[in-house]
Amino acid sequence: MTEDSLQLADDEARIDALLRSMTVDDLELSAPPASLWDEIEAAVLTSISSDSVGEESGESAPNNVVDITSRFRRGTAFFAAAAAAVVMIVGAVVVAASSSDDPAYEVVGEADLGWQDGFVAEGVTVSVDAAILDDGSGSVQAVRLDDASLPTRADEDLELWLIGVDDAGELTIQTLGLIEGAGGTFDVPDEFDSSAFETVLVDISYEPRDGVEAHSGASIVRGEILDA
Amino acid sequence: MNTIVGVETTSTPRTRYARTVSTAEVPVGHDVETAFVRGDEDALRLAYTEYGRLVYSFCARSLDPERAKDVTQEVFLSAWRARERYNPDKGRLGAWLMGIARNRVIDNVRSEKRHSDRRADEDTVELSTEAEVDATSDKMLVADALKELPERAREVIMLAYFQDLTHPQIAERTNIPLGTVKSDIRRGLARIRRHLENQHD
Repeated sequence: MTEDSLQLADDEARIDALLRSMTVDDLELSAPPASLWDEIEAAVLTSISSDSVGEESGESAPNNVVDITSRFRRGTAFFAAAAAAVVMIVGAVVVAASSSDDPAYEVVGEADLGWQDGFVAEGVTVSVDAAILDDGSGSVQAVRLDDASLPTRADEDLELWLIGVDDAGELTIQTLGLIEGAGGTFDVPDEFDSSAFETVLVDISYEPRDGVEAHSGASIVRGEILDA
Repeated sequence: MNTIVGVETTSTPRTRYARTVSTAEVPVGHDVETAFVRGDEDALRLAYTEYGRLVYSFCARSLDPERAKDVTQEVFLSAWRARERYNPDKGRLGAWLMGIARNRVIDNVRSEKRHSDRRADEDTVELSTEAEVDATSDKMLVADALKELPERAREVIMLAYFQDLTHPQIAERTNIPLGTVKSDIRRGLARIRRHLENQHD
């Protein structure tokens, strides 16, 4: 633009000056690496980075991951929220057997699942623990939820997941399906080999019915599976 | 903030899903700013789809590629955790995200400069750093805002500022009346300005 002038307000004059300082190269926005969204989603899922824009939001309880000293141990940890009116127990039993009807399940571990950030304000206290059963193969093959009466949301489902973390910090997220009713047994697909991971977490999330199959990031409870 | 015992927190994790879903499947017609304020589960994905290019492009112009990627990730994570502080009345989500990105980029650039030239006058370094980063940030926001202008306004502004045509030349080339050319430019600048507005602290 040359001699032409517009009667511009100060703010518009600033934009005018900015545009004059730009070249066509400045109009090209570059696409981020394709993997970046997955990394962001994974970091949200695992709450890996603890910093935020400003100050920390304050101390909060860590997930109650404890040594398991007896099989089927449950209810070992409770978060006493001030307004807590309801205490719900979700027992997740993780088994290693090819079929959920197989009587040969053996408990090999448990996990206490901690209430995740962002859901405490609902005024409900939840304690979840999980136990692992193994047939000797060393790989988790099913998860049984004894009582999953978690608070529901309109138009959303509850979904059960396993999250495997390998020694490089890489995550593998495996859905075990939607939770219907108060529990049930969920077979773990063969492609999820729990023995390949350093850490395996049980996770329950809210999933909007939007056709998106990836984890929504809205985890209600999550905890590490520990050997019994 | 919850932590997970046994998870290595210093490395950058990568996710792979048993069922792969691409960001192209984001529902359309969703108001990203409203979703963000409400903390909807898909709001972060929507925000990234809408502003991932903007934030990353800004970071990539100020930092090396690996750092740009890391800072972009930090920006979206920080924004998600601090989403209660975002107020749509104080500016567009893009401008707010860029405000977060600006601070992160300046911290990184300062750190790099201090390491590369410890003898430099730090005050001078910081002043030039901030000015450069701010200018880059503004340019990226303008580029992003231009994409959202009505087609005719965008065309007229492109001719005026990037092809250096006079208003009469634009009117002649586009067959748009001279008065309309001027008002399109004026309104376009006002729209771009609103795009850059960020009154958050």
